Order: sequence, then C-alpha cells, then structure tokens
Amino acid sequence: MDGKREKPGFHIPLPAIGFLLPNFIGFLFFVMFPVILSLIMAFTNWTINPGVPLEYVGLRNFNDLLGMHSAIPAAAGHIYASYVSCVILLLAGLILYIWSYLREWEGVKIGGTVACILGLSIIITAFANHVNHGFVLAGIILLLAGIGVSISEKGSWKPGIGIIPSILLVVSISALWFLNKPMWDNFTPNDPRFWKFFYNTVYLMLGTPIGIFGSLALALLLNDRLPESALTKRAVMFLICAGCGFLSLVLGLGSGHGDLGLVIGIIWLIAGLGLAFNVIAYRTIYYLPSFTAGVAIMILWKALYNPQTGPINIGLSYLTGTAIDELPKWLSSFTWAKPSLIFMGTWVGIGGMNMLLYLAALSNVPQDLIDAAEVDGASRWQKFRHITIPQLAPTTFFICIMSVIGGLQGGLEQARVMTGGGPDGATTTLSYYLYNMAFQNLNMGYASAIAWIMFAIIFVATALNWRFGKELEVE
Amino acid sequence: MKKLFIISGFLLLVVYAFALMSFKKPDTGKIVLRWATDPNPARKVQTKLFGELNPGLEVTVESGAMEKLLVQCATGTGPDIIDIYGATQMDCYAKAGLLLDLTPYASKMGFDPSKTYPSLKEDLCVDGKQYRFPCNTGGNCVIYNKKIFDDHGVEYPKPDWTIEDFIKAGKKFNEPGKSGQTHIPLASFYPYWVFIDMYYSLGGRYYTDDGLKSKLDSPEAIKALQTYHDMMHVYKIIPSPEVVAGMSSQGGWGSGPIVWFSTGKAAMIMIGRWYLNILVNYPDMAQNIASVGLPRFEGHPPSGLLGCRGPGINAQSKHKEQAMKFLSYLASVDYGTLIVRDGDSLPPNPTLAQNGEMLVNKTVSDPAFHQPFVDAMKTARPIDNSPFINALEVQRWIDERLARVENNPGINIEILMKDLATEINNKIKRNIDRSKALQEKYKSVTGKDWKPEK
Amino acid sequence: MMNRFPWFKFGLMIVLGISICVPFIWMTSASFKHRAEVEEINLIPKKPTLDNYPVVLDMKPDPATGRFLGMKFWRWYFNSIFIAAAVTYLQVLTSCMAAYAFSRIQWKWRDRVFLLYLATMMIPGVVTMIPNFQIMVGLDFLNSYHGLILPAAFSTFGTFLMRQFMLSLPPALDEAAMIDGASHWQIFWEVIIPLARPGMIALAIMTFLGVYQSFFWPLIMLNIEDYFTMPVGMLLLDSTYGRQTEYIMAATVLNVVPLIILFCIFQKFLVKGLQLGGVKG
Repeated sequence: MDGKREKPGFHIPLPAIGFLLPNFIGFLFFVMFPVILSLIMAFTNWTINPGVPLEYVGLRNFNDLLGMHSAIPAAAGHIYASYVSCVILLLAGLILYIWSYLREWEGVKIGGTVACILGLSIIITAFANHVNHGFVLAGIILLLAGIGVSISEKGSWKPGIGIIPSILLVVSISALWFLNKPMWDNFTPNDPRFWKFFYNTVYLMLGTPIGIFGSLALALLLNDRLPESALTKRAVMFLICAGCGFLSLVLGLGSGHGDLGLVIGIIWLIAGLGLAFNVIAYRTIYYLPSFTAGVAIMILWKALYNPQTGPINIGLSYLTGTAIDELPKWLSSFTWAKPSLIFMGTWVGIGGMNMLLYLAALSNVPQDLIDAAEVDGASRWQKFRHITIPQLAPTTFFICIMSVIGGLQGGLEQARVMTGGGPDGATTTLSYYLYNMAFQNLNMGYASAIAWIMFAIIFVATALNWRFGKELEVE
Repeated sequence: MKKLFIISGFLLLVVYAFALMSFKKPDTGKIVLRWATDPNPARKVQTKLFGELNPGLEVTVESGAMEKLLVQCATGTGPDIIDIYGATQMDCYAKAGLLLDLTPYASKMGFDPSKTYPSLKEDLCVDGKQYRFPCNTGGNCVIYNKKIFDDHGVEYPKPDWTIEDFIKAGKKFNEPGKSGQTHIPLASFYPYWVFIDMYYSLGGRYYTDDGLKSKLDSPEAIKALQTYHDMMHVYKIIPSPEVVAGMSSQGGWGSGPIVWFSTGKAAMIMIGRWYLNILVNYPDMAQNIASVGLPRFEGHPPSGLLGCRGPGINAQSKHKEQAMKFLSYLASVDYGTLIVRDGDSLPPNPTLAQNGEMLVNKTVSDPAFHQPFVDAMKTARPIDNSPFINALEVQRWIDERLARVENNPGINIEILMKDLATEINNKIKRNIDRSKALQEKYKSVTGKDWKPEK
Repeated sequence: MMNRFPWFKFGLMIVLGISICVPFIWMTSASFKHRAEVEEINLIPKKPTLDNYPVVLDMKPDPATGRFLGMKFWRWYFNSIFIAAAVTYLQVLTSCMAAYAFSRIQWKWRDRVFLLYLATMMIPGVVTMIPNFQIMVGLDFLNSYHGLILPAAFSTFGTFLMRQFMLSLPPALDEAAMIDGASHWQIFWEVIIPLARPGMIALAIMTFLGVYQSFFWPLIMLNIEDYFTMPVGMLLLDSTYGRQTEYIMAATVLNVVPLIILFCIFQKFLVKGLQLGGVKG
C-alpha cells in the first residue's frame, strides 16, 4: 500500500533480516506509512471534513505558499524571472564561497576582502535606510566571513578563480537591491505570512552555534577534575560548607534579606557538593534544565522576563541605573522577543546532552598526542587548536546535524505556551504555523505542504552540513 | 547483558499484567456519554444532576483541547458532546462536518431556539441549521469598583452613559486619587470584545447580508477601531500590551487583567456575569462592586456582543439520541437553577432570568447588580458568519490587526481595515472558486452564476 | 591540596552552577507559596505554605474552593514511569539490533535504507500525527498502554545513534569471533553489546526523558483518567477559570526529583560509557 516494500531479497543475508526486522516493521508501520500519507496529502485538499470530497489539486498548495501573483502579469514576467535568477545566483555564490575556502582555490583571499567590503556596505546601507535588522545581521555575517577568509592561513593572494564566488555575491546582491522596488510593487506573495515565519525560523537558529560553543566550553571546564582527596577530608569540607550555607541563610532571614541569604547559602552548598563529589555534582546541576523541559520551565521564564516584576529587568535596572520602564520589554517587544527566546533556549540546552557528548569525546583524546605536543613545546592554545578540536570533529559534526534538524523544526512549544506566536507574529516559526493550519484552520493539505517544504529546507541544510562536515573532517 | 534484558523484559510484562488487572472498571450498565469541556469542578455537579434525572445515562467529563478533539473526530473516536465556546468555533466545526445538524430533532426534544433567547438564534445556527444549544449565555456589562471611584471622586456611571462619559471617567483614574495612587481605568482582558461591543453599538456587522463581502472596512468599523486605538494610546484608559506584560499575568485565559480588577488595582472591567465564578476567590471584593450596562456611542443605542457556550453533538457519535437528552436537560429549569446559583453567567432558559431578583445568589445578593445583565440580553447581538469563509480564520486575521494596533501607536486604521477587508474578500472569492458546493450556494443567494475572475 | 587547587576554575563552575540553579530555586520556592504571591520574584515565600503538596497529591482539598482536585497523582506517576521504561526497553533493544544490521553486516542497499531512516527524521512530527492516529483507531489501541508504547518504541534516532557507536568499534573484533565459529547472534551479544553499553545507556536516558515528558501523543490517545500520564494530568491544573501555578510548580517538583536521583545514580555509568564508545561521524 505504501509502495516502499524493502522486503530483502535473496542476496541479503538472513542474519541481517533477522536483526533488522523488529525495528523495520515498526518503522514501516509507524513512521514510513504516515510520512507517505502526508506526502500524498500535500497534493490534495484534505481537510477533516468528511463531507468535502478528497480532490487531487496538484501543486496548488505549494503555489499558495510559495508563489506570487501580480496585477499585471504580462509585463512583470521579466522582473519575476530576473529576481528569481538573482536569488539563485546569491545562493550559488554563498555555497561556492565556502567551497572555495575549503578547497583553497587561488585568489580566495581577494574574494574574502571583497566579501568584507560587501558586508560593510550592507551594514551601512541598512542603517542609513532604517531597514529591518535582519539585513544588519546578514551584513555582519558577511563581514566576519570575509575577515575570516582573509586572515586565515589557507588560500593565497594570487588572483584566480577564487574571486568568482564573491563577484557572484556582489552582482546578485546589488541586482536584488535595485530589483527590490519593481518586484514588490508588482507582485504580492500569495502567503506573506509564510516568508515572515520562515525568517523567524532561520533567525531563531542563530542561537545554535552559541549553544554548541557553550556546551563545548562547559565540557572543557568540567573535564579537568578537581584534585581528589580522602573521603574524610571531603566529608569535613562538605559539612563546613553546608554549615556556612545554613548560617548565611539564617543571617539573611534574620536581617530581612532572606533572598540574598538563600542565594549565598546555595552557593556554599554548591561549593560543598563540588568538594565532596567532584565534578559529577556539577554535571547534574548543569543537566537540570533538560529534565524539566515543559510547561513549568515556560511559566518560569515568562515570569523571569516580566518587564516590571521580573528579576532580569530589576537586576538590569539596578546595575545600569536606567529606569525599569525604559528597559526592553523582552517577550512583549517586537524586537526583543526572538533574542529572549534564543537566550532561554541556550540556557536550557547548554548543560544538556551536547555537553555530555563533548565530555565523552574529550576523554577520548589520546593522551600520547598531547604529551608529544608538549614535548615539542606547544602552547596551551596550540594544543587546543591542533589536537583537541580535530579530535572533537566527529562529535561536533554529529551535534551540528542534529541541532540543525531539530532547530528548524522547533519553536512550537515556546510559541504555544509562552508567547502565542506574538507579539504580532514575531515568535511564530514554521512549525507553529503548520500546527495552526492543521488544528485551527483544519486545512490538512496545506499543513502537509508546509511540512514538506520544511523537509526540503532541512534536507538541504543537512546535506550542506554533511558535505562541509566531511570536508572539514578530511583536513 | 543478555540476562539483564531477559529479566527486565520479564519484569515489565509482569507489571503490565498487574496494571491491566487493576483496571477493571465495574460495568455500571449505563450508557456513557463523553462530554468535552473545560475542567471546571462545577461540571461534576451538573452531570450528577443529569444522571439523577436520566437513569441509565451517565455523562463523563474530559478535556476539550482542540487538537485532541480534531484528531479524534477525524478518526471517528471523538466525544459525544462537544462544548463550543462561540459562534466562530461553531462555524469552523460545522463546516468541517464535525457536528450533527440538530434541526430535525430540536423541537421534538425541546431544545430548539424558541426555548432560549430569540436573539441567540443566529448564534446557534450555521446557514439556517441548528448545531448547538447553550449551556450558559450572556452579554458583557461594565463592573466597577465603587471604592476606587470614590477614591478619585468620579461619579458612578448612569445606566445610559455614553462612550464620551466613559472616556472622561477613565482619564481621571490616571491621576492620583485621595489615596495618592493611580489605578488602571479598564482591565481589558480580551481586546476583541471591547472593539466588537463598540462596533455593534454603531450598528455594525461582519458581512453584507449575502455573506459575500466583509463590512469591516465600513466607516463604523474604522470609527470603532479608532476609538479603541485612542483609548489605549491617547487617553491611556486601556493598558497597552507592554503594561499588561509588566503586571502579574497569573491565571488562565486572559485572566491577568481579571486578577487586577479582583485585587483592586483596576477600576472597571467589561465582562459577563460569569465573573461571579472568579469572585468567590476574592470574598472581600463582593461588597465593593456594582454593575452598569455598556457605554454607547452618542446617538446610537447600546449594544454588545452576545455569546454563549453551548455543546453540539458529534456527527459520528454512537449515542446520538441519548446525547440529545443532554441538550434537553440544558433547556430545563433544573439545570438553569444550577447556573443561576453558581453565577455562571445566565441560564439558557429566559424564564429564570427575567429580572435582577431572580438572579440573586450567595456571592452577590444585591439584585441591582444582576439587573444590567438581564437588560444586556435585550440589546446584545451575536456574531454573524458567512457561509463562504471559515470564521476561525477571519478571527485570527482580526486578532492580528488588533495586535498591530496595540503595538503601533499612530497606525493608520483606515488602511489597516481596508487591507483586512480585502484579504477576507479575496479569500471568499478563492473559496467559491474552488468549491462546487459554494458556487451553488452563490447562485442560490444571488441568482447569478459564479464567474471566476482572473 | 591548597597550592594546586584550581581556584579560578572552581569559582567559574560555581558561578555557572548558581546561574543555572536559580530558576529552579525559584520554582521550588514557588511551590511553597500561596496563589497570590506565586509569580513574584522573591525566593523566600512571605507566607510559606506546605499545603500545595498535599492538595496535588489529593490528600487535602483545595483551600479556595473546598473541593478535592481529584488528581490521581500516584496512578499517573506509575503510568508515566512504566510507559517510559517499556518504551526505553523496546527501543534500546530494537535499535541495537537494527544498528548491528546497519553497521556490522554487509548487504546490498544497506546504506540506502539507512538514508531513508535518516530522511524521515526531517519531517515535522505534527503532520504525521493524524495518519498515525488513524492506525491506532483501526487497531483499537486507544486508551491503552500498548497504544502509547508501540509507536514510540520504534525510533529512527535510536538506530542512528547506535549505528554511530558501532561503527567506531574495530571490525577486527567481528572477524576474530567469526574465525572462532561464532554466529552473528553470538557476536552481537558477546562482543558488540558489552562494548556498545555506553551508547545504550545514553540512548536509554534520552529515550526515557523524552517519553516521560511527551505530551501531545498521550493527550490525543487517552480519555480515561486512569490511563493518563503526568504531563496530561497536569493539564487539569490549567483550566479556563485560572491556572493554578503553585500546584503546577509542586507537581513539577514532585515529578522531577526522582528523575534527578536516578540521573545521579546512572551518571557514573553514562559518562564512563560515552568515553568507551565515542561518536564518530
């Protein structure tokens, strides 16, 4: 019924079938079948209604999502074609840029400098024209990419084909700049909300590298165990710390600064736990947020971000002296809603599974390599850069892929529980949009189309990740 | 390792068997009707009474979460009785084919629209067919805090007051009163209602009579939204979203502002009689409050949104007949008395709420408090829906525009509303274009054939 | 000890620890507050109350309304743990077996089928929910344990993770064992599984937590209160007439404490295990 019958044939050894079968049957039944059904549904007008006959509508859902329509179709055709070609050129330029860096094409460094200039000009024009700060971010990224390539040891200054990607970027971006007005004067997207939410989804992915770096940093921190000592000594230290903690709590309560006393008391307690149980205690503490993911954490953070009574704003106002009313309104503010979510997401994820994976990988780094490097007189930084990081590459690669797949599908719970997708659609991601389409508008066909477009995006992102990851690994 | 797996597998099976055995529910021999509603403890009392009046039937309450409902109904396993919170939701579900058309059975079993308020008829029907019957109903009034009014030296509102009076009074609360404090003039917890109440007072409707065009770009709509905008950004009577976020948001559906009013931080609130349910948690508040009808625009009669919460019956229910007995129960005096007693807005049966005295309950014993709610029923009107578009989708678009007004002071309301109306009209055209059934409906409404435009 | 003690690192660890901890302290203290002050930021309750926990555990009536909440906490606890354990068991077992087939046995189409597995992870889960549910209805799996266990027991993620682990083990082990005349089944249990134990523990922890916290699927599968899992049960605390935050906090604390204890116990195995396996791309 689903057409994907991978029933093993004669040349597949029996043991393979045996081992694979339990999992595979479940896979076919609970994973493959619904997936195929949803693919079919994306091409129909499926709604819940038993009264509406199921019709095949071809690409209509996809057109509704991604397409444009124009009031004056005849003349505008050229504009549309040129716009789309420029977008394709832009994407090609970006991919080739990274490729040229990895493959060390000639002239790649000149290309890097060109990218720098391009990035700077984007930033300046963005500020001058007060456009949406997404452009500023894009400019900054280009600038950094340009600097990164220019100062790296790879590639050469000699002119060569390495310049081509940057030229592509310059051409496409300038063309888009000029085409922008004619395009949007004549065309309106069929579903403007889709693009807005696409932007949101990509924006929210910005926190991913920060999270990965953070997990790495934490893993590095916790990797070197604290000096061990005898059991009795540890017990004594723990008791001392616990005692100090209790004392500060009591003092705090007594003097009316109960909260401060409690915080200091807990600090003593954490110190004591560390001395007694070594780093295991900290690994548990850092993993805490991952345990309680869910409604409780959302409520918690909603209260923390409260612009009037939340400790974040109260603390900021105290530290910087600005009045509370002038501080950003975090989740209710159009500009700050997404950064707030990114911060919260990082907090939750930073001590989680990624950190543990890194810890394990770190302890796999062969000690003899490090010793050999020390004998050669390498500094700490060099040891880190040339030994540790490459050894961690496979783990980083795995984490990157899973983060991309998960991140592009995320945002649903936060939007549903914390922000309702607001303010004014600022925190709605494609996942949440899909969810609304399916369960509010009951338009399942449309929702399936969104899901498959998301699949295409995730697939491309993962494929790129995979490709570049393999390149990085090779070196 | 292998041993570990075998042993743990065995243990799991044992636990599983044990768990299954402990589940044997005694078969009461009654037919069980499932009612999807919210987890309000009052439901248990209502279903218990139903069980007593209808031996052999039992109603169990379960969560009415929309996603769950839809997924279950899509596969034919939905609950028998589905609570619907407004005409918008009813429109959506009816058009999705989830609800049973009650029209053939209604008068026989005693829950046709004549058993409740006549003005409610449109709220219970989609396209002339009845799909639900109210559990409770009501329109909004303004409840105000007498102590705060005294504190700022503001006169109590008169029953016939206008929007201008309302604004004048509201502005005073932003200046410190005798106690030195300012108060929030209006605790608006659902901005949509404030806008609609005003729009209705101006005589507005959502669609033209044939349901083909949206009337949300009419001058009345623009005026209503402009007034809302001014109340929020110019006169500062309605707190803007930032102020709302800045205060405690404790509570479920929009009840942050409800809590402000209940704890004496806000002077007024526009709400239905179901506020009494919340008032039980704040016993000291009861003696401070009084109520008055909604303010009206000068030169127009007062009006407001009429709504009800009412269950419909799942089109695929296996116990349709029995489930309909539940609807008859709702029309009865027994059930209505429970609603009056618990203060859960007004009962569907109008004979139980003819004046303030009949509505007195233990939370607020002053009949004058309940009277405006009775009066509101005479002037409130329900939402009008169009057969050509999904009401829930339109609702989302309206909410979006309202959010934009709230977040952008000085926004051009006329352009906003024209854009909204265009979006709705385009969607209507697209819907008709893609559905033969709607094209026939178009023909029956206008007498002309549908001509798709390019 | 004093001279070699890394004070700076220690300090850093503590600072990070406290910043991650503070929201939890807040949450725990919120579970001891009255409703009126629940969402305030003070860490020490002004009017502490021990009542929230008994109310959640259905031992005392809710002071505001005088009614019992009717939360079958212990039952739901049991359900959540049992279902999570069962799913973990099945998943680890079937994933390991499948991963073995994908990594240690050579067969045609091996990598292509694996890519298929990988690709299905990229579909947003929400959209496959309805077809999945339709299957459940067809099989009459609603309101049952097996309905919650079986769909979750077959995950592609588990297979992916275990395959990575197994790929990093040297093939020489298999060859040596085969020369000795061992069958695949024996190699699997005697050679590979012990070495892959770290990966299995990691997978077990992640699966357990994931299933324990899953909300949507139990929501649509269960109508009968006796079968609820914790997240669904806690929905009852979030009604239209007011979210009872203090009870949600108390329920969450009750929910999480055993998990923390379990984690501490298994932690030693976990990291030690991860070390041996390593994750290679």
